[in-house]
Amino acid sequence: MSAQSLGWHDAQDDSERRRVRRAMAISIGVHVTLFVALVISPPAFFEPIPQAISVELIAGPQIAAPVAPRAPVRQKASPPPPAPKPPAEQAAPEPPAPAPPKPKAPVQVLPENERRPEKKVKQAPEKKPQEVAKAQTEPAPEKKQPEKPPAKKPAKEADESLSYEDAMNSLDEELGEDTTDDLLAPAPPRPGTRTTPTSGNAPESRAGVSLNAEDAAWGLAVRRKVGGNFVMPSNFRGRGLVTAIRLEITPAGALIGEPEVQRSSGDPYFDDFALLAVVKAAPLPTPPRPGQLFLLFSAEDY
Amino acid sequence: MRNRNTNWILSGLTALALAAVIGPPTAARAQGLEEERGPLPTLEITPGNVKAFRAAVLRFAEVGPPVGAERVAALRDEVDRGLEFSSVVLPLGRAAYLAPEQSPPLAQTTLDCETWKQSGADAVVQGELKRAETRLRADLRIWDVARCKEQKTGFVVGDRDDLPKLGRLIADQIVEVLTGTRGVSSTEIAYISDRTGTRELYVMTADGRNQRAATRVNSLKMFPEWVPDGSAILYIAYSKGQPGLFLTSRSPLVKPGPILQSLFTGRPVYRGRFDPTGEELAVVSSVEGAAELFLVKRQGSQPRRLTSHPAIDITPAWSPDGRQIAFVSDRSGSPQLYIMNRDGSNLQRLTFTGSYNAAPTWSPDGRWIAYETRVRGQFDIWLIDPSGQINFPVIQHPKSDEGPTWSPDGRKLAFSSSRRGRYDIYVADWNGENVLRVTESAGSNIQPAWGPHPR
Repeated sequence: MSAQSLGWHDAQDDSERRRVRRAMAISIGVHVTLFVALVISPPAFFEPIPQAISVELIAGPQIAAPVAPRAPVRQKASPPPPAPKPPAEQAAPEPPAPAPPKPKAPVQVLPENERRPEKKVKQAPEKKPQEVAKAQTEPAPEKKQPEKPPAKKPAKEADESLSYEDAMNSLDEELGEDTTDDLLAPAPPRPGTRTTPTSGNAPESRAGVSLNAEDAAWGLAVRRKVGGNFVMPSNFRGRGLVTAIRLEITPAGALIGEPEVQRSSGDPYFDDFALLAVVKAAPLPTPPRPGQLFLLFSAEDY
Repeated sequence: MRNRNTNWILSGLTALALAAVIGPPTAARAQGLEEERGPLPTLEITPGNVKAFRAAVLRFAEVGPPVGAERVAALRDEVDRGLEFSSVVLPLGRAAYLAPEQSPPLAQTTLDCETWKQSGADAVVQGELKRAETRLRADLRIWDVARCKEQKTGFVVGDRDDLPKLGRLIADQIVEVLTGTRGVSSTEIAYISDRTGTRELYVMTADGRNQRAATRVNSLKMFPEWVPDGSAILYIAYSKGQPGLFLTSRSPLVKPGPILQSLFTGRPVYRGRFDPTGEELAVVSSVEGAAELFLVKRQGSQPRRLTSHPAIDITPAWSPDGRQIAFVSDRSGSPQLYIMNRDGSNLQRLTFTGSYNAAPTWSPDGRWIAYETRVRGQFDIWLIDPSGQINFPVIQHPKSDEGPTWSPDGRKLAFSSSRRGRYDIYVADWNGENVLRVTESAGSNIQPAWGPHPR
């Protein structure tokens, strides 16, 4: 039985091998042709790449950046708000629950799904990498605005893959003008949360901005460096304190001006320890590009 | 499991914080600065390493009449011990010092910040000691080493012969300057001990020093409760076969002895707890054989009945704003926690799990109610939030852990535990970590009541 099937397989393999050999020959031929073509006419293929890189570098400094483009995009994106703000009230609004400390054992009672907080932010990045990839492959110099909206439209149709802009818009809307209270009263669950079970070990993505490999590596380095300088007395833990610090960094990672508290945790002492961590950690690892950066400091090390 | 349960809260907060941050159109967005690759990623920073915040407490300079080198050195040790106990800001080990450990007189406002940074100090405490007869005055200057900035100055006065106390007052002040919340190493715990044969009221500092009896009448004492200003302790004692309310006082302004007993003549009083103002008490007394809650003015007034149910209603616990009372009732068939307004309205059941829940006490920040719950014949300590949605164990042990009480900074719990066989008083961080036994005498030590900050 086994011998038979072995023989059968052999026969099959023979024809297979023949086909593979033919394919290999074709493949090698194509490669050689390609290589020859490349050697003969290198500029057409090689030039765009260095160009794209240099453009990246030039595009960095803020002054050079075109001022107009983004604002209109944003406005355009906001009219169709219904999409990002799904009316579905799957989760009945519940009173905000205080953040528990590190429990030694499971929290009772919690219907976890209902209370899982807003994950919309997290969805945002999913779209972005494609955009980024596109930006990288395409010759950068001729970059035009029109490119962006098309990239976003499909996102609106597919509920799960909201673009960054859309996510932000919807958050703007949901949170309204002043969100101080929301921030201080921890985690009121929002209706219509699209929850994917935590992809939790990519914490950067939680912040809602796309991450290419470069950004991710840099983000990790920053988290390590700033986190290592984030030393605070222990009595801030267990209260769910979160402070948002805004800072601006040079191409070398040095601070421009003083970091500032963008959104207070409500405890000025805690805010100050967050600021101190940034000051102590400066200069930050060389960023992929200079600009404005937000750091969210949490008192908890879950 | 812990991660699962807590992560969502963090990410919720984070989402909100992020949204709040990005909400207003910021300069960068308006400019379209990062056309190509988007803005720099927003990053979360958490204190992932276990590095503690460390303060170097220097040897204080003597100013004026000599205090004595030994005293100065001893005081510094006591400050370090106080910091250790509060465990908010930890003392930097002396071996790590790269800079001189002697404080200059405070007239000199200098600090070698670079060297202290290298030593691993996050804060440096300089000080001066002055003697005025039997008193010592310690002036402090606290430095933020990273910014090389003087944080704040202050002073503490204490008894020259009670260096442990002065040191702890200094330690608590250091914590306050650095965090906005005073440390608790100078606070006291009242408790009941039968080490002399009968159950008497005792007082000790929160770290277990200076244990002493506060009553000596040779009758059964129970349930100590502090007057909110710390001037006196309320307790239950039996007199003429009937339990009633008594005060033991260390203030000339508070008269010790029985209180409010004329209001409850002929009826037992099982428990009393002051509201946060100290003006009124929630009292447990008996009506037709069932324990009920009453509200009484401290100066005496017709008791106002808050509960009315044939089941027993006991152990009132005030919310820190004084608006609500949590208590224990067995009206459902088993002891469970309930909450009501201070006038008895809006009564709601709080716990629905566990067959025996008792001894509620409200955290100083109002966010939690600690209580004991029976698990397999012994008690564990759990926290529940006043809305009843979050409920979880913090102190668990095969032996019984009972009668929780909060430190005034809300960071620690004291409780009695039989984990060594006899009951002793233990202190732990409110999340159940760092369990520390603070009594070790013979006999049982039970019913701790953590006092307020000394005034």
